[in-house]
Amino acid sequence: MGLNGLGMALNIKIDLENIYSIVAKDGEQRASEFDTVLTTGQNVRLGVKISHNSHPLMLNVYNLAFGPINKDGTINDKAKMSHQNHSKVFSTVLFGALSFLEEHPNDSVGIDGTNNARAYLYYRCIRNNLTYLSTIFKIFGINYYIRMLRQAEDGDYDLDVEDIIFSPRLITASESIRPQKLYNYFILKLRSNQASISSIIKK
Amino acid sequence: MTEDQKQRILQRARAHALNAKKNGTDFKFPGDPWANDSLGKMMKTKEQAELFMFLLERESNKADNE
Repeated sequence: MGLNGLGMALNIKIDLENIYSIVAKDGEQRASEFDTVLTTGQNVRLGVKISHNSHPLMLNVYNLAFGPINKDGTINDKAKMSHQNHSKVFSTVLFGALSFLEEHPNDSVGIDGTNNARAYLYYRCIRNNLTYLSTIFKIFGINYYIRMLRQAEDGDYDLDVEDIIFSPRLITASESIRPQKLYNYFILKLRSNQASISSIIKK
Repeated sequence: MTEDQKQRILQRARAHALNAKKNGTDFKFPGDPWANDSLGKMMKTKEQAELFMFLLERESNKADNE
């Protein structure tokens, strides 16, 4: 979801105990909703959607998207919105992801940066709250690299989608990342030292 | 985050999950979320996915051993 007022959005402080009232609409928590307030005072309902299917080639990785709900019921994850409380919005979305992962402890959720501004916003949000978030999540940043192994004689690069390499990296407090190497994508996984609801039920 | 805070949050998440199980319907937001997902769109081969999952597992183990 795009955010106006980027400066304000860059100072997001995640607090999983200060969230909007989120309602899971399905039993698997793949569809949730909550209401946010824009800087104009307008209330807007946001949807949080976790894909029903994992990626066909990456088992256990599910896409997470959030944003206002279009008239046709789809989620507009590219909408630009200026929230009164960006921290509470992001905290609520992360709480939804946490609750889903508690129920599916072997799964991961992936969040697409979609463009450089959004990828930077997500990265700043993660980095600024890494100590807090790392007690619950393992968070990975992913870069896409293009292997330029072949070059045509006329100087054109012969690129093929198969030349793309995906490199996941655990985001740590000590890392220093250049803008050119900014992650394109983020994956959240639950830390394995937590007793999940599933394991409790099995007991 | 203190251990108490963490346990409170996890407890709330579990309660949320149980509530969803109890009251949730078969509702789905329409649309395929992978259709616009850059990783999903570009990951095309089994070899790419296998390497990716191997690297992800390695990083995940690194996090567990921190």
